Amino acid sequence: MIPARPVRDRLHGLTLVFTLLTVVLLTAPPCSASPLDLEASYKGYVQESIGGRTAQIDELVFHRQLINLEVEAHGSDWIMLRFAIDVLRDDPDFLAEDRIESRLREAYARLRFDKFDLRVGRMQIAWGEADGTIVSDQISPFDLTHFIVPKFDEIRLGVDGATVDYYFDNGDDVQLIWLGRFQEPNFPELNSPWSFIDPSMIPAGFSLGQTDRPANAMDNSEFGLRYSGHPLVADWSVGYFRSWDDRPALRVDPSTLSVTPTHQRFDLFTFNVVHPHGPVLLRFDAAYENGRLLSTDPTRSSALPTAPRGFLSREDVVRTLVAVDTKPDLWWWEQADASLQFVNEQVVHPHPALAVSKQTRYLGVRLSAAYLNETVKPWIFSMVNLDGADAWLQAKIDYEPWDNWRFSFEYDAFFGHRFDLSNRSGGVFGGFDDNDMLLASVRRSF
Amino acid sequence: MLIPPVAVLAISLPATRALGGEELSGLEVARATDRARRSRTEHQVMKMTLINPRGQTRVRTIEGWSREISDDEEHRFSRFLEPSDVRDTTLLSYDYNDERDDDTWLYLPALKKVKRILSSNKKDYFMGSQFTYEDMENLDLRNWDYTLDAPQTEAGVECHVLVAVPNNEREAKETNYSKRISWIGKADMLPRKIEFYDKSGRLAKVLVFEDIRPASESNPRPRAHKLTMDNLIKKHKTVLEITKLELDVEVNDSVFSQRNLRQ
Repeated sequence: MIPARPVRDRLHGLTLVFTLLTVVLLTAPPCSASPLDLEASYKGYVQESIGGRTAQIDELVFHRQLINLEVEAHGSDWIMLRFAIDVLRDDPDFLAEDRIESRLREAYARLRFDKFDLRVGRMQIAWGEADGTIVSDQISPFDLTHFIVPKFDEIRLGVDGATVDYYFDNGDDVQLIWLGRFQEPNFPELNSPWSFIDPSMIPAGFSLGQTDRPANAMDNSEFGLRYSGHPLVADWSVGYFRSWDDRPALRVDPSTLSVTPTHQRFDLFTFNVVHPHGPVLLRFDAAYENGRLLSTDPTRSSALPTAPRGFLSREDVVRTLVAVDTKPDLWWWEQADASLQFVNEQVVHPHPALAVSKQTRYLGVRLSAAYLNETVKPWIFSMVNLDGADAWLQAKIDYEPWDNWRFSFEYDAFFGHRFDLSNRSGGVFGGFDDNDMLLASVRRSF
Repeated sequence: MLIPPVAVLAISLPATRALGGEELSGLEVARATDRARRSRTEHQVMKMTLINPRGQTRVRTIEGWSREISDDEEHRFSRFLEPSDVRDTTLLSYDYNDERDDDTWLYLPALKKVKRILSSNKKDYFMGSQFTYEDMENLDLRNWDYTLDAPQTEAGVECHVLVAVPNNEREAKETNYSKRISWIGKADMLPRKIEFYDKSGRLAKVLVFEDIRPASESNPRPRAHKLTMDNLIKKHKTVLEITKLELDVEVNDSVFSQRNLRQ
């Protein structure tokens, strides 16, 4: 159990900077200025979120104040400067003290030429057609400090580099990407209730070491390209990315009794297609991850004639998603939206002592509506692990009584247990079985 | 159809030859208004004010471009300017007046993604307003029958009274309405009022056209610049004001492109 901190401490923890920024942004109208012939505009939001476990509601597993600010400056049609920054304060019970930080999510210049756009700086790059899960969308990493509690639009991190988007006369386009610096995801602390690290993966007597990251060097650049077509019959794209794995594998070193999270190179091949077919939209998203390092079970590996080095095995993994979206025409279901997603993750030729699931299949459902002139927006999202008997259910209502104000009330439930090597059941959602929670947030956009 | 920029049913009927003295059938009046509505290209900014029964208001502002490809095909590009939480969301749609389903792409700046999406149901309300997507479609000359009632005076103008009812089961099922009655000025063929009757025959909504004046200095064709949709059942009202309107101006092909969607 996490010791709850008095509410008074939290109030004292409100920083002057945060409060002043909030007041300024709430009272200032959107601006438009023209310094140096650049026309600038800004937008953003201020948000307060609080979440407690249903098992002990006064125990906060999430408490965040967030200011998001996005500024764009246009100089005629050919140049645009864009900045997006988050200033946030985290104050859940499991943190010993408040954490105040700023995240520069975007800071780039875009130059527009006749046939192509060049972007240089920090940017967010999104690939693929998956919704609420990651298949081929592996270029920009995510802030997973609080797992799924913040929404997708809040957690994507920026990557540093350059892109060129070239547009052909027939509407097709090709995107070239070069990233000069590896940006890893933000992971939860070990004592966080959202920690991904499975203690059973660390052998008795071993300690968890510092993460092994690639050095900032030209040789460690990430690069790739994606070709996209947009004929009326279907939108499609095919891509390749020479990547560093965002998901570190655990390297076990018996000589130092240490376990080291390690990022490694792999090749990512992607393909996706979207096809409208009458009342439904069919989506397909696929990723072939060539040469990823995955952990093996040291006990079982040691029993083999040759244990893999560091107890890591280089594997190929295939992820596929097939989805159907539709808008049911029912009188009681206003602004109806329904989506069914099937996700399959499979290790192609798994090492016999592999410590992760060789195949995982998820079924996802998303249902949403909007009532009372888009004032009340209910939403249900669920992911069920068909192989591991674990699941996540999210039910949410957004209430928007006035322009630019949004009040959200959410319930998240997790079922099952953490992945168990012995009987190969459970999964990532089951690992959070104790974290069933109620979440409330208010957002003021400006 | 999704977010057509001010294609609201016959809001854009320009002055055509005077038809007041001729004997016209209902279908001919409908055809005339449909022809008169069309322009090769349009660029406009519209402000929608949503008013609830307590008088509270919410505002949506959209800038849009459209161009007619053929009688049955129109391309539209829309950018949301207000409210702030949807600002810079953009939408590209290819709308078809025949059996084809519309093709629609949406760019969500928060997610950095262009998404191919399904067109909304005809019965859905557009951005929380009292306009349904059906209300914003062009006149359907195939699936509705048009007849004329005795002429009446509306807003001080002598009008044709055009009664429209669905003429097949599929349309009767898909539409919100059992009947629409339009008051169309005989002199300028511009609508002054439309009544919408629900499937139980109740008068459900009334759309009033006001502030009829030339579209712009360079284009003298008259257009309604203010439309008020009054939902008599829900007691909600939507006022749509066109704050900028340009007709038949040069609109570059690149406006209706995937590239522009992501800018």
